[in-house]
Amino acid sequence: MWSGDFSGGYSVIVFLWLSSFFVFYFIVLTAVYVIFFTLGVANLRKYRHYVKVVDLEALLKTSLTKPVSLLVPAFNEEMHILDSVRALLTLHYPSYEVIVLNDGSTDRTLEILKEAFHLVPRSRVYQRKISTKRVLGIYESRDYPNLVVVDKENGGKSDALNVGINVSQYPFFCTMDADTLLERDALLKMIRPFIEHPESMVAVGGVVRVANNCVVDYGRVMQVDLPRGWVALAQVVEYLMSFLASRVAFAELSTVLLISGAFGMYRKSTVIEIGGYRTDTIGEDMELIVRMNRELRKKRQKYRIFFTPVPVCWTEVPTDLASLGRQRRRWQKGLVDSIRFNSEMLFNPRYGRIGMLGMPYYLIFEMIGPIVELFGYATVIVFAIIGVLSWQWMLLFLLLSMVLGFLFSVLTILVEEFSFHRYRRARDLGILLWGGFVYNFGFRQINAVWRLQATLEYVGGLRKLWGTVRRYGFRTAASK
Amino acid sequence: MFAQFLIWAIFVVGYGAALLFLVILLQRVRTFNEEQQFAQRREQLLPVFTRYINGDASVAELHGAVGRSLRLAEEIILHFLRDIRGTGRVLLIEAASDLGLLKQTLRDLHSWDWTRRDLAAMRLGVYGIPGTVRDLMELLRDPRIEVRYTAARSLGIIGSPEAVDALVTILGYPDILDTPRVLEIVQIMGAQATEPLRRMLATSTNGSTSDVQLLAIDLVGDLRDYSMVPTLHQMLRSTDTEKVLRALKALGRINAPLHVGELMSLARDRVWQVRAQAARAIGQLGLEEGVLLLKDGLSDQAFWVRRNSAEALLSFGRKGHELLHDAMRSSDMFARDMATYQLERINGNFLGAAEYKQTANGRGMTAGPTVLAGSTAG
Repeated sequence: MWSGDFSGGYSVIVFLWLSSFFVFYFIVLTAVYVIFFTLGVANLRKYRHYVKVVDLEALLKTSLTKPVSLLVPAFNEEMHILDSVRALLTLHYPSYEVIVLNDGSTDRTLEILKEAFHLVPRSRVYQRKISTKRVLGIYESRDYPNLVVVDKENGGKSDALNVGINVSQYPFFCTMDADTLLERDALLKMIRPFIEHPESMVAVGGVVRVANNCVVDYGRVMQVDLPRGWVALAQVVEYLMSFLASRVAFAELSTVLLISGAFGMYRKSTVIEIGGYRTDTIGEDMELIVRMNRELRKKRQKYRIFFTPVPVCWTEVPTDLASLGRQRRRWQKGLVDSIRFNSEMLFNPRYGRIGMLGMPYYLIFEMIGPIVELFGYATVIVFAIIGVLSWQWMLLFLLLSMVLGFLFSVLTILVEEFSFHRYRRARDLGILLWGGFVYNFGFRQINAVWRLQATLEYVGGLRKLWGTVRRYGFRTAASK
Repeated sequence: MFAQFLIWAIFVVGYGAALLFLVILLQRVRTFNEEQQFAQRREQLLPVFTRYINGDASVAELHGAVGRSLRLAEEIILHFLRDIRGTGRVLLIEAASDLGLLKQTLRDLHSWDWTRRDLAAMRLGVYGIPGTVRDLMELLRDPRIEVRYTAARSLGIIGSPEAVDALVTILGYPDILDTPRVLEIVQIMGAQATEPLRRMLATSTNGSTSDVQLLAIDLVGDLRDYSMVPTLHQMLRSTDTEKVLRALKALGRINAPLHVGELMSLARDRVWQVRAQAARAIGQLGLEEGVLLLKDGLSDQAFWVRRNSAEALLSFGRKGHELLHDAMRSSDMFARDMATYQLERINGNFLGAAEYKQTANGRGMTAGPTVLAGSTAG
C-alpha cells in the first residue's frame, strides 16, 4: 500500500489516519446509495403499477380534485414563454389558473404575452398575506379567463412566487420554471396525494426530466430523445439517479427535504403560515421545505410531504460548462443556506427522522461530500508524489471509486428500463451508458470542484449568485 | 496484497456493471419483441372482435382467432367493455367466460402478488358482473390499501344494492379505507349514490358533525341531489358552523329555493365564512331581496365576503351594476377596489351601459371603470 518508507514517519501517520477516514466515508456513502437504490427499486414497482391502474378521467370528474394556481416566475424568458404558457393553458385538469409573474424582465417577455394573449390591465384585488416588492400591474387575458400576468419590480424568484401566492385565488399552488414543460396530465397525478390525505398533505414533488434534444411542439414533448453533448447527457443520468432512487427513498422514509422548484405542488395556507418563500436565499425551493418541516414539527402538527415519480415535467438543462457551473454553484449555496437557516434541526431527535437522517445526509454527503471527495483525490495524489503511497495503490483506489460510481449509474439505467421506460430506441441504451461513463469519469469531479468553490465563496461572504444560463431553445418537429 | 484486493474489487464491480447492463439489454429486447408481437396480433384480432360484437362471428371463430393470445384478448375485451352497453356487452362477457378469462381473474384475486390482485379487482369492475360482488367484498380485507381501494371502486362501478351496502358499511371502518377514497367512489356512483349519502347524513342533523358527513354534504351538492334538499335545509339550523357552511354551499349548487329570512340572517352571521357563502348563494339564487345586503357586503371586513358580494351583484343586471358603480365612488377603499375590479371584468358591457353613461355624465362623473394599478385592499 505505501512504499514502506518510514523516513517520513509523521506523514505516514497522517496518511494512515486520512486514508482510514476516506475509506470509512467511502464505505458509508456506498451503503447509503445501496439503501437508496433498494428502497427506490422496491417502490418503483408500486408506482409503475399505479400508472397502469389509475383512472385519471375519474379524477377529472370528482369534486375532491381541488382547483390549483400555477405560478410561473419569468425573468427574460422571451424565447420560451409563449410555448410554455400555451401548453399550460391546455392542461388536462378541471379547474386551474395560470399566473405568470414577470419579475422585471428587461427583454420582451411582457410584450410578447400582451400581444399573444390580448392582455388587459385589471384592478385585481388580492390579499397581501406576504410582503413583497411592488406590483406594477396585473393583466388578465380577454381570450383565456384563467390566465393572469403580474408585472412586478425585480425581486428574484422567491419574491415573484410570494406575489403569486398573494394573487392566487385557489387553495393549492404549483410552482414551475418558465421553461418547464408539464405533461398534460401532470397536475392530475400531482393532486392525487392531496386527495388521499386532505388534511395532512402539504407538499408534493414530481419528477423533472431533461428535455434537451427532445422534439417539442407547442410546449409539449412529442418525442423523447437523449442529448448528444456530454454535459447534458451526464445530467440525464444524474437526474435519473436523483429522482428515481434517492428522492423515492426519501419519500418512503418520510424525510423529503427537497422538492424541485421546477415542479412542486403546495397547500397555500401552510406556506402562508410559515411566511412564504425566503427572499434572502437562492435555494428557495429546498429552504421552504426544510422550514416547513421545522415549523410544522414545532407546532406538533400532523403533516406529510411527499414525492411521487409519476407526474413528469421536462426542462432544458445547461449544455455548456460555464452555465452549468453557475447553476451548480447556486445550488450549493442554496443548500448551505437551507442547512444554516435550519441548523437547529441537525441531529436533533425532536425533529424525528428529518433531524436524525435527512438533514445529516444533506450536510455530510451533499454539502461536505464534494469537499471530502476532492480532498481525498488530492490526498492520495500528494502522498503518492511524496512517496508515502505507491502510485499503483493510488490509481487503483481512484479507479475503484469511479467504477463503483459507474455501477450505480448502470443500476439507474436498469431502474429506468424496468419502470418508466421513456428512452425506447435501441441506441438510447448505448447513449445512456456513455452518459453514465462521462458522469463518473469527469462530470462528477468537475461538479465537486464547483461545489467546493461555491462553499468557499459562501464562507467568504459571496452568498448570492443567480447569473444567467445560456438557453438554446427546444428542438421542434420542423427542425428534426 | 491490498493492491490485489483493490484489483479484485474493481473486477467484481466492473463485472457487476456488465452483468446489469446485460440484464438491461435482455429486458429491452424482450420488451421490444413483446410490443411488436402485441401490435401485430392486435391488428389481427380487432376486426374479429368487432365482427363478433356485431353478431357476424361465432364464439368458435373468436376462439380460433385468439389462440394463445389470451392476455391480448382480455385487453381488447376490457377496452370494449368500458364503452359498450347492451347486447354487445353481454356477448363480450360470454366470450371472456368462454376463453377462461373470468376464471383466471377470480384466481388472481388470491395471488400472492398484490399487483395481480389489484389488477384482477380492477378487471372485475370493468366486467361489472353483480355475481362477483362477494369476491370483491372479500378483497376489502386485503392487507394492501391499493387493493382495497380498487375493490371498493369496482364495487362502486357495479353499483348493485349489495355492493352499495358494502361500501356504506366500510365508512364506519376508516382502517379499511379512508374517507376521501370512499367518497371518491361514492361520487363515481352517480345516481346510485343517493342511498349511501342519505345514510351518511342520517346520524344527526343537529349534533356534532364528522368529517364523513361534511364531505357527504359536499357530495350532495356536487351530485345536485334534489331529494336531499329538506335534509340540507334542516342543517342550516345547526349549531355547527362548518355544517351550516357546507349545507349552504350545497343548496346553492343545487339551486334549491331558500327561505329568504333564513338567508338574510345567514348573511349577517358573525362567522365570515357563513356571510361569504350566503352572499354567493344570494347571487346564485338571484334573490332580489338580498341585493342591499350585498351592497353592505362590499364593505365587509372579510376579503371573501366583499369578493363574493361583488361577484353576486354582477348577476343582478342593471340594479347590481348600478350599485357597483356607486360603490366605485364610495369613500370606502375596500368597496371601491372590489367594485372596480368586478366591473372591469365585464369591460363596461353591463345592462343599460349607454343610459348609465348618460346619467353619469349628467352627474359630472367619469363614465366607465377607473383603472387602479395593483390595488391591494384586504
